[in-house]
Amino acid sequence: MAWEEQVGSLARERGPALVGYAYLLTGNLPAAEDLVQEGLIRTFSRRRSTADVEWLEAYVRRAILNAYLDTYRRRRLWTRTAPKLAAATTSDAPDTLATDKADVDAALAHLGPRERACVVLRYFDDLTTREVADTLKISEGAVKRYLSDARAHLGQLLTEQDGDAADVLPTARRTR
Amino acid sequence: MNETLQDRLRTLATTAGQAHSRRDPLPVDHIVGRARRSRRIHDTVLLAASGAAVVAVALTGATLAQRDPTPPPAVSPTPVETPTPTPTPTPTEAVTPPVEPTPPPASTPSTLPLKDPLASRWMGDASLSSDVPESGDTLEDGDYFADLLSVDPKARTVEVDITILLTGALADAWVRENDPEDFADGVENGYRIINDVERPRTLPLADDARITMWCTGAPGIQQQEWTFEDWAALPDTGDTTCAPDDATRNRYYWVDVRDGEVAQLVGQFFP
Repeated sequence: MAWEEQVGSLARERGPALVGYAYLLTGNLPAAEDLVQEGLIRTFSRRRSTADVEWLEAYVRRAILNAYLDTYRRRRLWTRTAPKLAAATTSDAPDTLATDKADVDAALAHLGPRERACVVLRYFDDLTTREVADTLKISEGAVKRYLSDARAHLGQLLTEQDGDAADVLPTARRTR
Repeated sequence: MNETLQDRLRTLATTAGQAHSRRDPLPVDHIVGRARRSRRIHDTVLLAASGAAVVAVALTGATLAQRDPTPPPAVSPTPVETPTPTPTPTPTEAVTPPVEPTPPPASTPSTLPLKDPLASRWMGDASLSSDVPESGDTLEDGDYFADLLSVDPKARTVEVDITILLTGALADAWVRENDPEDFADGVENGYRIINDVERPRTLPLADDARITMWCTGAPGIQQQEWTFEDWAALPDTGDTTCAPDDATRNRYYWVDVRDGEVAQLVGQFFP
């Protein structure tokens, strides 16, 4: 299958799942769709030997995460150097989903980008804190700190996770 | 609450996916086009890196030749020859893709849509590249990026110096490869203009060409539209404010070429 066809196949078959994943990071549907586009572009900008859709989807998810973090880093640069444009570049969430899970949505909206990425990787992708650290190229201690900070925002939601509170709280006490 | 956070996240993701399914599908053609363009740039970088390596080997051979009159032939059989390839790795007009031929842009004049000239094309975060000119004094259809050199109101032409604009991850990749000392946690301000298209071009404007420029002084960035005559009469230096009396011409523009003419000139702001 030519790579152009793989793009179409992924977009058709896995587009909703990818957008759902991106939405957990952005909290905004158009932004999530843009992020998926960016992830697909990044993935297929390199020549890859694999034609396996599952592997390609994994590449795209990783690209989505990196694009999300890159976007926030650049936005910080942009708003610092172009203060007059700050109002135009901030992205509020008018397209936030109207859902009965809006509490999760709202809670996630209070997280910083790295906190949010840690939460998604830990609780949605089921990665260990070590794997989250490897994925984000930060230390495991930093991951635990981000998760601890996220816990402060998410409150009750995180305390229901078996074992995680015990894993996070001591780290939080050490680092503050 | 009985649901775990995992359950809630999965439900939220599913709900978002379902909401996406009710909207326009992902623009596959656009994604393929941008990926293809990135591949061309990536190929160019690879070619440049290979060229730089060849030059390095040749220079090493030449140096050894100066020290030793009988240099080992495996390094450079003709060490007196001066290597001519430039080590500057850039997407120039003469570059040939090194890995596999990339088909030319699939779009034709009738299928390459014009972007909204009243919308700023780059707002600091997206990864994109302007089109790379391929041949001749004229330009193929495409969205190029240029430094405006002059305007001829009578001939209704603009003289432009085409450059290659890379932003976001593409700029990061290029600078990492070619200007690593200037890379610190990303490219400064998220973009890099590569001015390696040497020949300025004089291009005619279409009769219905649209011209927009950014200006400051209003909330956010604004793209204001100008008639060719008013725009051509503006001074080309000074502040660019939204006040008509203070307006000057932008320096950098997206030059959207269709059928050999400039269909749009869209000013681009940079911090």
